[in-house]
Amino acid sequence: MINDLFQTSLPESLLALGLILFPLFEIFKSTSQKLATFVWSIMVTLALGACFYLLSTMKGAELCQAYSGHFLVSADLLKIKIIFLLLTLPLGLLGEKYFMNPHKYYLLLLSSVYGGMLLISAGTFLTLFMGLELMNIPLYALILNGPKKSKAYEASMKYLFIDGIVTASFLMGLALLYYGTGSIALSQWVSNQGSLTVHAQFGYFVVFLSLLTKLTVAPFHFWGPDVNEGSSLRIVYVLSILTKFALLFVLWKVTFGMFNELRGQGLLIGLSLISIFWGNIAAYKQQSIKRFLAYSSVAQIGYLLLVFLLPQNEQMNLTLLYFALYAPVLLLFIWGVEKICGTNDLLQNLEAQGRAKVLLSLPLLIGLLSFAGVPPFPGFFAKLAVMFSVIKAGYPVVAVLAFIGSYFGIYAYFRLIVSLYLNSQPFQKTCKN
Amino acid sequence: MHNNFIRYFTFFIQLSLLAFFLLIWKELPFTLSIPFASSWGLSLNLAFDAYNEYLIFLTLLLFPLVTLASFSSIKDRVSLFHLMLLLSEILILGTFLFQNLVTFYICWEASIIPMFFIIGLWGGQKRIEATYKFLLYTSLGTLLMLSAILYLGVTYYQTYGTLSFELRDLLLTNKLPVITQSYLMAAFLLAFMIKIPIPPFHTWLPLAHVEAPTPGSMILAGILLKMGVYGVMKFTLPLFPQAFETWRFALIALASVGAVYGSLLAWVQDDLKKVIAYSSIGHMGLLMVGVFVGGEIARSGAMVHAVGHGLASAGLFFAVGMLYDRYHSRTLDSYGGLARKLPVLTTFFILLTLSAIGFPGTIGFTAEFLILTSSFQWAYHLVEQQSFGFALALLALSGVLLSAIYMLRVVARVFWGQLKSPEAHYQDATGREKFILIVLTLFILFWGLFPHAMLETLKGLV
Repeated sequence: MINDLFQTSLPESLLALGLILFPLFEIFKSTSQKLATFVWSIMVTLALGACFYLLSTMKGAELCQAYSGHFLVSADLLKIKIIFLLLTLPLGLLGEKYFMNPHKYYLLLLSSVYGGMLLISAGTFLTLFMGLELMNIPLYALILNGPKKSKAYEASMKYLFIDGIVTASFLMGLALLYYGTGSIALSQWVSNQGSLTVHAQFGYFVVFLSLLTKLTVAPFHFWGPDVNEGSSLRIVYVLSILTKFALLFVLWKVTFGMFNELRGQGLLIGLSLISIFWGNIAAYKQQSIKRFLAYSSVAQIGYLLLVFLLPQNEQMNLTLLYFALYAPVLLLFIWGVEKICGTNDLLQNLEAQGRAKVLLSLPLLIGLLSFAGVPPFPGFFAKLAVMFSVIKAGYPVVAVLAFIGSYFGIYAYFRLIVSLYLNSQPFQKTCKN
Repeated sequence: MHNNFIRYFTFFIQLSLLAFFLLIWKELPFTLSIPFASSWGLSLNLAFDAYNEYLIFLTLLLFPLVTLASFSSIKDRVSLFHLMLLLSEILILGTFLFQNLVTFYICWEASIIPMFFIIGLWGGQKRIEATYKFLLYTSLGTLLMLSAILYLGVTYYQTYGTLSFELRDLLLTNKLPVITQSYLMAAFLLAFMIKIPIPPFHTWLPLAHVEAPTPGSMILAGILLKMGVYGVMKFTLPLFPQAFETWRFALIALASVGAVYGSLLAWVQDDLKKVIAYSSIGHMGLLMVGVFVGGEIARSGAMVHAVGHGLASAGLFFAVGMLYDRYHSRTLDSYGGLARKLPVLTTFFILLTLSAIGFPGTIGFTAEFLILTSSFQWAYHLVEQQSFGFALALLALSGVLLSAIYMLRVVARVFWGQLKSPEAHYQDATGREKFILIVLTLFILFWGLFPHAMLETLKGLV
């Protein structure tokens, strides 16, 4: 049993320590990329170690509350945090080249990670909202430092406006929930599900929709591709893995069995199928790799939403598994694209590169086959696990439709493989730009 | 030098696989169980039985020949090509061997990728269109099959409380309602019928054959199509017995119409590769009549036909590839009277043709005789709609007759008649080419003259 305030939030405290360390670089006018990366990796690794330590002291299903219930820790939550930090860690390997001072990049990133950690541990609406803001606000600045200034400004402004509006409605939803249930504690809200007032129901609906918009679930995905296009590839990774990972667990917390209560399965199935179909179909027409990845991640969110159809106890493990299989592949893909194309992210640049750069194009091949769900690549096993569970939950037709949706994805992803390997002529630039 | 090393190295690996198989063939049938992720219901259980031993032998026999055939037709990126060949061989062997439906599926679906690259990288003019068609047709069926496999797994889990995708476990779920079984069987059959292919799911095949390089065509016709046959015999029919009984008539009708349709289309083609591609559709239709009619004789006939067609069509594609390598044309009109200048090639082409049209003394005769006899027997024993049954059997028979017409038309126009260009340089089969053709015809004649050796081991097919 851990009662100690300091102990309970040890990983977060270590990350906060990192947040204090980075401004010191400013004082000493250090611009060393290596040092900044080192500090970042150390802080995240320490936080990871702290999570493991806490996990070893936890007993079974006990739930520790700290800061008067605002902050929760349990073995399950710690597992989620560990995966989250593991997904974060490789960002240090990618490095950063668009910021004047690398430590600013890592400061903003660390603050975003800190926000994500708070979100996972949130026990009340207050911590939930604080974590959400802490996670998103640094991203405005991170997106701003994209490879092309004009696109980056556009993306950052779009993200600022859309995310601002969505966060405001999220807050309004929380306020309505508070009004309806009389408590800001998430546990209170969950236990009150049976007797919901109209306010609470409406508030819940607003919260749900804002979360879907943040998750770029189709048809609320419109901002995703634009924001992706302006940001650098590593921020694409942050946007499509880290924020979505944390947000899915928010969705997991606030929906806690809600779909049975409000008979929302139809809505959930509809949204996830629209995401799968639209994400895969729209990916086919894209000219930019980042927009392509944005649509691909819309489709992935569709599969992840299907997880919510399952019994409560299975949802978490399956989501973790999905991310653990999907994220490394995306990272590998991003690394390959960056090595081959540099800052120019047009798909034309990939043409015939499979022949010119045999080894560098392998990560792209593996990534594309994995996104398309071709065995024996990781993406196949992720989809297999989700679909098996969906059929087990009693929705075989949904699984068939989702498979048909991913069939369209095969076309989109193989289009890239064809241009990588089967086109014999590399793309020639016809004009100077 | 470097390229030749890679070629011979691949050939050596393939030969040693074949030698290994021949060594253990006496010990068959046997099963091998390797636990692997069993909590997920996965395993690496292998089995050699009557369903797959000849198909595995065919695979192991054809791949070294394909490597030999690639010497003259594959000139660039040789190492990548042979990597794809080996990958393809391993995945096809995995498809035939694995007894777990998910591991079977993994090999089945992954075997598309090497073939995708073989057609796409070394193919002809319209190779990209051909790869898309090949990929999109074959993967549509497999995705639906995967959902059916998962459904069976869930059913087993809900009945017995443990997770398993083993075929022997999933066979216990064959008490499902007929309507559910029919849906599941449709999903399985769609995947397999696209691969076999049975009209109307065949349109990917002619384009893939025409665009593929000669070794690609040999794998495609010789082995890849048999994966579908194996899937139907090994998985679909045992898993959904009641649904199969309900739909048997329709399936036989589809297959026999396919036999005639493929043969009729082969008759009107002017491209040599297209003739053989459409003839494959016809032969596969006849083969599936045998599978669907059922019973030991018909199923053994189907298996013999699978092997026979694999040998004959691979040989015919190789012979057409030899012509194409020499004269860069595949149209019938550009050839004529070759028998005078290329006697060796002509002899082997005719021997292969005789097997394709079911001439007595070749393996094709054994197969077609068994299938047709048992389909007439089936029609004779029908209680109702007997005349319709006879009509279907006659349809299958006419497919065989048509095959003689179109194949002899090819022989007549290419090898007999006036020599089209007497002044051209003619070079008959080289030693390497002769070796490939001799091996193929030897097996065709051996099993044609002594079918007993093969039929004895096929008794397990019911």
